[in-house]
Amino acid sequence: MNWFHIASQSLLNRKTTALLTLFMLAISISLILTVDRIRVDTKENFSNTLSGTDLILGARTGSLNLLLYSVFRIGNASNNIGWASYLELTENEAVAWAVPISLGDSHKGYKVVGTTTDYFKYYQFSRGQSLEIYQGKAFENVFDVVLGYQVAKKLGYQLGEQLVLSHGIGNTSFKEHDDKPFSVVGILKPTGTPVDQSLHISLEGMSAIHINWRNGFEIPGMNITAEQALQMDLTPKTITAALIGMKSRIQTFQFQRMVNDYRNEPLMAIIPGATLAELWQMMSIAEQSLLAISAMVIVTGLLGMMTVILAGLNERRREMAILRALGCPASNIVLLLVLEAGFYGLSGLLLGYGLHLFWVAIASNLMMSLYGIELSMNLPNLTMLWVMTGFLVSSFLIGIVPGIKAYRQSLTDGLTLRT
Amino acid sequence: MNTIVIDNLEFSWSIGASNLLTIPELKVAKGEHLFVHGSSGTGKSTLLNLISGVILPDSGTIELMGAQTSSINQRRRDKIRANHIGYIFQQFNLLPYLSVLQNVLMPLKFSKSRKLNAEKNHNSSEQAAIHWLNELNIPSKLHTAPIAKLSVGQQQRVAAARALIGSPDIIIADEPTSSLDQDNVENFMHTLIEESAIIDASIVFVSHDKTLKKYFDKDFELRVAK
Repeated sequence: MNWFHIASQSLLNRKTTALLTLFMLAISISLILTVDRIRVDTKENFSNTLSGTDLILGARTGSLNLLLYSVFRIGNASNNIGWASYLELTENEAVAWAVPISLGDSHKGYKVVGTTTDYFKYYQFSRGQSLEIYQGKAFENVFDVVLGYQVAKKLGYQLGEQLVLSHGIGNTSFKEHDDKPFSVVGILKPTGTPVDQSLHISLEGMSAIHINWRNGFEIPGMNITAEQALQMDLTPKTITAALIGMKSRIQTFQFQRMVNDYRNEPLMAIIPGATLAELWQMMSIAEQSLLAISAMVIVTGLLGMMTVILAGLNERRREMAILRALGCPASNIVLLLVLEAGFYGLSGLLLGYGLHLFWVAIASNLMMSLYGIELSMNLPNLTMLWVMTGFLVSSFLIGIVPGIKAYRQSLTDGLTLRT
Repeated sequence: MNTIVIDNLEFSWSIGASNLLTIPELKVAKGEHLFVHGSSGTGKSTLLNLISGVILPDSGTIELMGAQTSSINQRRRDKIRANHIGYIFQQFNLLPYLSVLQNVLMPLKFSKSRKLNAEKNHNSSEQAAIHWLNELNIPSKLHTAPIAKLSVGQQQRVAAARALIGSPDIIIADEPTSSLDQDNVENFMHTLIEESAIIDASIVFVSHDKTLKKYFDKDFELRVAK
């Protein structure tokens, strides 16, 4: 039977209050950990999604908008690029490679990307990693589709399976391209980027399924079978965006200006890194205020704990008087309360960390399906470790306040028991 | 040898107030049983606080086991109290979150000398606690029970066991029988006096009930000072 035992038994005697206080602290600490985890992982995920691409070419719109829809599959394109303009611009000497992207269709909520096999060659993520095929091969025929890892996993598709793409985006699409099914020829390795959530087909495939469509509507009575479509000219008329790699970085700005000044069509080119930095800058206020609120919640939690201990002191006068009569030094009364506060702090921290992992586990599914962002269960970063240490130390320090009050109380009360 | 010596003691709770408590001289010899009585407001509890060294006199001295407690620091007074005094309150003596046995063992936690005494006389602390609980007629099935399971009389007897464990030199009792019925009072008084005699402890017993005087060697009356 030591001091820790006495402190914990005394707490157990007040278990309802103690548990509620513990939860208050745990929730406050789990909140800041989870907010920070989402913040850090979102940033990392965004930064890792695209690598090696010098410019993104698209119709004139907000630079953020272009970045979000072309790379992160968030939002929709407002306009397209003419295929002729694309060809003309990318013929430029300074351009090392260009990968066209055509968006707008989906399959069970997953977005379809029309592109060329160059996509598998030039698209890079996470500091220069290229896409790799996990099973099968890249698309060769018009009606071949290569699935992102998560699409295959979540929908349970195998190689050789047939699937039908839907026109438009969203889970409940208005119209299915059911006259022209695609067969799965390849599945990509997981990347932790929106690629995992995408289906990849050739630009010709994209043209083929839209051959009896004009301006987003199916032409009534015009039925063209898959076989017939293959005989027709499937050269795309428009694309949504293009990823461009330059021969040398220095030419990036020059080419960017050229695109922005292009006369035939209102186009723009953005530097992904710079636009991402713009995004972070925009987000930083929200980020900072979320962290500030979380920090305030922690302070509130600690103050609440102090209030609970202080409020309990009056009812514990008898306990203190008994301890004093037994010869317990007044300084040990302070220790008892510091131990109690520290116990709240430590168990609140542990429970809070557990709660944080629980939140992450719940949120990661949602974040994955909504934004393609994977939340990690990594250890908290250095800043959060400091926050946690600060929390623990202050919880002990806060115990000094009721400790001193109990000390004074025990001196004036002496051994006189008050009921 | 005297366990307690009080000389020219004066104490008042607030400055300027007429002295609440004045004791020109009071001595308690080793093994002597002293009955202190007086009506409410005469400072019975204050006297016990002074003897225990929880509060200090305004003037005069108190000696406990030869040490002048009024001139040493608080930590040492706490130590002397732990080593030499077994204390019994009026009621609600026990910590509700510890078992009966753990409550009785508490004094040994604060005093090494009482722990050594207990181990010397009964081999181990636990056996000492069990011995005293048996002496005070606490059935052994209650030893590990929570406090709430005990009657008031049983609680007071457990408190007595706690005061006696480790053979302190002084037992201080602050109206311990006021919550007991007549049968229990006699039972409690007999056991307390007998068991204190066994360990040769002095008793300072405070009560407003003069009928209890018959159990004691010596009595002392507190009066409001004019």
